[in-house]
Amino acid sequence: MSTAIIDRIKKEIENLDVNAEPEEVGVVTTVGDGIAEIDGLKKAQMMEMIVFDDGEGKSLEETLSNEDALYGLVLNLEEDAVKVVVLGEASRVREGMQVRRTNKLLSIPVGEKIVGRVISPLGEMIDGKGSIETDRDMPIERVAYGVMERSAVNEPIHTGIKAIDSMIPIGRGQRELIIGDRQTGKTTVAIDTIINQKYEPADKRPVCIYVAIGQKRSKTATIMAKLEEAGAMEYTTIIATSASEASPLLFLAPFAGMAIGEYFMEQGRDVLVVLDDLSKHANAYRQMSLLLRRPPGREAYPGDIFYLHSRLLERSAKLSAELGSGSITALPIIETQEGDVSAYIPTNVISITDGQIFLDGDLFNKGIRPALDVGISVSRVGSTAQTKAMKKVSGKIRLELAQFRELEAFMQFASDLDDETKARIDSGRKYVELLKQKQNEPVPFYRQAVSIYAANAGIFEGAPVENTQKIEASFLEFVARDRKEILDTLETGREITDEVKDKLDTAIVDYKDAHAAHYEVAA
Amino acid sequence: MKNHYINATLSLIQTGSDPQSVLDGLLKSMQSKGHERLYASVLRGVVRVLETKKDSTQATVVVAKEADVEKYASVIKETLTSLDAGSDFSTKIDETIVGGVIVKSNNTVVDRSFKTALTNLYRATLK
Repeated sequence: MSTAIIDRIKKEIENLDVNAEPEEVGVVTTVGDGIAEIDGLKKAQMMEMIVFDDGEGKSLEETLSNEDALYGLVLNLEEDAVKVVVLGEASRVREGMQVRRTNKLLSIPVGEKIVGRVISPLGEMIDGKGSIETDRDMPIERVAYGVMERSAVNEPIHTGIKAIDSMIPIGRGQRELIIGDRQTGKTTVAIDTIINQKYEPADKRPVCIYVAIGQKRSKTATIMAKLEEAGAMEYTTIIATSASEASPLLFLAPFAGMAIGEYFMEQGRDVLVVLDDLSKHANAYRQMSLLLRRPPGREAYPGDIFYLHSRLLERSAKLSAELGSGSITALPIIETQEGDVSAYIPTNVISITDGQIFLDGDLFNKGIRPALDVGISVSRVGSTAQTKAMKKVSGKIRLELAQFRELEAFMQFASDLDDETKARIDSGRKYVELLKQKQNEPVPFYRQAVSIYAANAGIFEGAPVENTQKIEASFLEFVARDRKEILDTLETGREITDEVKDKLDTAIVDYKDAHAAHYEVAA
Repeated sequence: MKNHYINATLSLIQTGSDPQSVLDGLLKSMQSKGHERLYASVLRGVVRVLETKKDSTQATVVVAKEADVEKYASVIKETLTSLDAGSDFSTKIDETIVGGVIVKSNNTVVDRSFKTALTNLYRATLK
């Protein structure tokens, strides 16, 4: 046995206190489906943790064979009993078992070292890298910051996705919903956003928290591997709950994510929380509520399902300067069925959030990825937070794409169209090509600004549509190699000044002269 | 529904009615409403409440062996006073607590058993 362990045991023995305080106890009267009814806990509070005394009548050896204490969470205070969800193996609970109050509301231990780790919603490290020292316990449920404690969203959080950063910009402290059918790239958008934060300067880089709610373990493992490969785990915490876990753990996961986020936000830091996904969260809450015999409402969801998600997302905030200017940006994800955004849970979350990124299955199948439907995607507060550089270049792209969508229906009659319409359709197609991006390859905002500026300035004019991405890539390479000062100025200044504009115009002319081959139509 | 039956039965028994006739009447009433399937669980509920009330009238002291009652006499007295539980108590021997003493009164427990202290120490060390 190592000396460290012996020292630890000695320290614990020194602090051993057998002068116990009086504790309120109750008795389990019924148990089933992870819900226990308890008699006798007259002073129990909502969201209080209780501990099941599963060692009663067992020998010391048997008691110690269960390494962890078994906790429960009080969720129903009834006239003559309390109902508790079991946070763990419900099969360990039996009728007549003694239960003790802990006098503690459910909280999660947090600290600086939680970054880079994979944890359960109760704060247990589940990545096999051992436990960590924590600074304090943050309550899982908490009232969100009030109006006077907040400030307006005024700083951007870059996703690294051209279509989003240019047309649907997200600000630090905003809640932007990612919505779409299954297999349309919702998680990819969120993961790309996390990966893109590595391009931010270290002092501005947000702490990222990815909350997997009822996801397959294989999917969570893949995401972790992607983040590790991209070097993004250094600033990311994953809260993992799998589909096979009890519904109370799935219900607690996003709240635990917000609690960790608040710990960092209160230190004046920016936080990005991805909640993947709230549809499964709503299902878990429905299951738990039905087992607790709460009255079902529409689609059997309990009446407070809207309140559940609004109080969760309201914790996302941009704090005032007096409170340190920290922020929590939330990217909740909702899975729709057959593109139906008017279903119960999607409409609820759409109305709570500050905008939505809608991913369309048809666009995805056409090869347009990210499959962003620009028509119904919106950001309600992000434009005020957009960098000047992106604001300057994004106006035209929005207009061009809107006109292209109107003309899209006539594309099959291309031979009968006048030259101006043909040119507009051609330009629209090139913008669509420009906005296509491979997954896990986010682009820093200054490179995006250069690409979109060049498109607006006509770099693709005269080139076939299929060469758009090739021209974009080689132009960015050309600028990075021969005109690096443009990228440096944009990265630090975040603005396209007249000087940068002149340099970019010259670079475009020089590029076109030197790369005539890209503009030739293939035979 | 079940709780209403339990409460009604208890209030009748507490007013001095004959328990057998109360239970007969309860069964008849439940049968007339088609609730007879609840009868067994209502009876269990009534027994549970009555047992809880019986327990709550007197404090219980749990020790590992008979001699510990004398050994921890001052601790027991002090604990009973702090719980406002009078001086009468019943004793229960439970060897699994290893040593120390547990005092129970109503819904309150003061656990000074070695087993709990050692279990807490073990779990804290593992963390």
